[in-house]
Amino acid sequence: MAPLIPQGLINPELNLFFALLLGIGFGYVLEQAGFSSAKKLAGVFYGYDFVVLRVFFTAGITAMIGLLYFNHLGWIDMNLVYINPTFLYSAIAGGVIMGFGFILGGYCPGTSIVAAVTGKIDAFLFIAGMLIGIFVFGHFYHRFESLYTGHFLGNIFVYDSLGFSRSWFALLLVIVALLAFAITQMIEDRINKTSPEQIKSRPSHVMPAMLLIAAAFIFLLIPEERKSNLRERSPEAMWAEIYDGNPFVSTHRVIHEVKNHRNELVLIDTRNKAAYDRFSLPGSVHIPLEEVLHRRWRSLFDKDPRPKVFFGDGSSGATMAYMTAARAGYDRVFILDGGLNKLFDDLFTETEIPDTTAYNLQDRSTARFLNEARRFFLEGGVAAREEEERPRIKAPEESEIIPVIGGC
Amino acid sequence: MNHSTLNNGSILFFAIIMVALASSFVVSRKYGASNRQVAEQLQSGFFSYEDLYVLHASGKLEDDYLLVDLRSEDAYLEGHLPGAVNIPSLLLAKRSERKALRTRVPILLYADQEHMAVAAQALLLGLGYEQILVIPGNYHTIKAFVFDDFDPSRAFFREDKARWDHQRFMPLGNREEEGMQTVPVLPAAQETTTVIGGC
Repeated sequence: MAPLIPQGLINPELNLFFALLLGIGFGYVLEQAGFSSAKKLAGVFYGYDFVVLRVFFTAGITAMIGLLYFNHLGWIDMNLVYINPTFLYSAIAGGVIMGFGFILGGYCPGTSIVAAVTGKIDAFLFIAGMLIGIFVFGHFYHRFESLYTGHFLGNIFVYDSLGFSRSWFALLLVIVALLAFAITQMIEDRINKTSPEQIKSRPSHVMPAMLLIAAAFIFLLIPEERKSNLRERSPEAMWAEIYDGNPFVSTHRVIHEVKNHRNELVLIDTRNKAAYDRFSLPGSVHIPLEEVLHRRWRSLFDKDPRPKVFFGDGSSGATMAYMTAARAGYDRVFILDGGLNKLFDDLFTETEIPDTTAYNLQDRSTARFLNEARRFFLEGGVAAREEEERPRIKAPEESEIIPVIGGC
Repeated sequence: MNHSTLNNGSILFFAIIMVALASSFVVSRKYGASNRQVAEQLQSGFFSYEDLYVLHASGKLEDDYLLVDLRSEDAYLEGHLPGAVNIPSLLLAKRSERKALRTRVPILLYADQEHMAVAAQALLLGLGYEQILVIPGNYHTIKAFVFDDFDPSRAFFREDKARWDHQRFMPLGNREEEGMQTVPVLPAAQETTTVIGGC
């Protein structure tokens, strides 16, 4: 289902409209957390107020647990969610600059806007400084470029680098966050010299903490990959289809398609790479069984309105690909009945044109069609048409996925 | 945020997740194995004629394997492989008809056509059955090449093997030279120069 914009459920042109709504919401939350005050924000450095750490860490682990479950339940497709790639040098430099600016100015970029909205003059100065910084960076970008793009690590995850599984890392992070809350609370109390009565009268946060740990722990117990998901077609329906023979496309239809240079079918070669490189039907695309579920081909299966016809040498390889694709919920997938073997049998074994009687008009026209096709292909009909080669389907570039960009 | 809203909020968050998780276990138990797992198992799902012959000759076939005949009942009664159980493919989607499959593993499937056995294999693997293999070819080829007169040259028989030298019969110009251009280009690693904000 989600993310809504890359899945095409929301028009991408409304992107900025939703950005405005989310921005207002985010600003509201920041203001409610007290983040329009530089005193409160800088407290994290002096130890008298750790609310920044608490708010952002809570937001982080809550979102993490939510995403884990939503992904597991199939409500959100994490493959489509943009992951900020890691450029090591710029991350380090940016962290240092940000921390320095934070303690100097008392704001971070998001909170400075919130504070400016509430009318704080220092926040206006902070924003002016930020704009100057952006201008300098933009103007001298070529000087910074090697630093900015230095040591590119791709989309890496902390748990992969540490060699954990994702669910263990989630549990660990929740525990680390809760420990951090407890420890910073103790530091805060010591520095502020809070009286023991005040500490006692403070409400307990045991319940939310336990629920978060429980949610992370339960995620450990459920299997990584779900056995079925909502989008998949039911086994009974699929079996009825294949038993009835609905997914089969006749070789004659494909011969007609190739001979007459039509572009009405998507021909999908399921054989191995070597066989495909040596020979394939004109215009066919190579998707072996192990690639059928790859997200690269999802737009072809979902968006292309033409029937998708799997073929192999016989029907078996194509049937495997069909069963996988049909189960995944892809509509209008078909199998070339008999595969290339039958196609060549039909084409290149002599057929006699039967005599005209009232009952065999169909056979007669089929035989005539095949004879004509045989002549066409034996005379190198496809090769002669070289300059108007059927357009080939290319694997979509990764960048066609509209990334969801986050940041605060 | 005061005390009770935090508590209520966290309880609500937890409850939503747990209800959704519980309902997902109840509602969508269509399959017993994920699509990806099935696709992986299908890649090595064939049994060779040679193995079948060796098992048959040593008399272990009926003890160690369950042969399943997916053809219609009439065809089964006319003749079937020794020890085979009949589950007509028409009835395969019914749970009650699949009782026999629970008795022994591995299971060897054969049918009128190889691709029907393959489709049944994909269905059964998806439903959570394990060790399902397909005997290549159809009933007649299996009977002729393994049981009646074993021919080692047929050991790797598959209906899905190329019988034609395709390139000879349908020349496609000088693909050898420009072939590389027509092969779909796989996406390169994403290069990004987007400048993204953080807080």
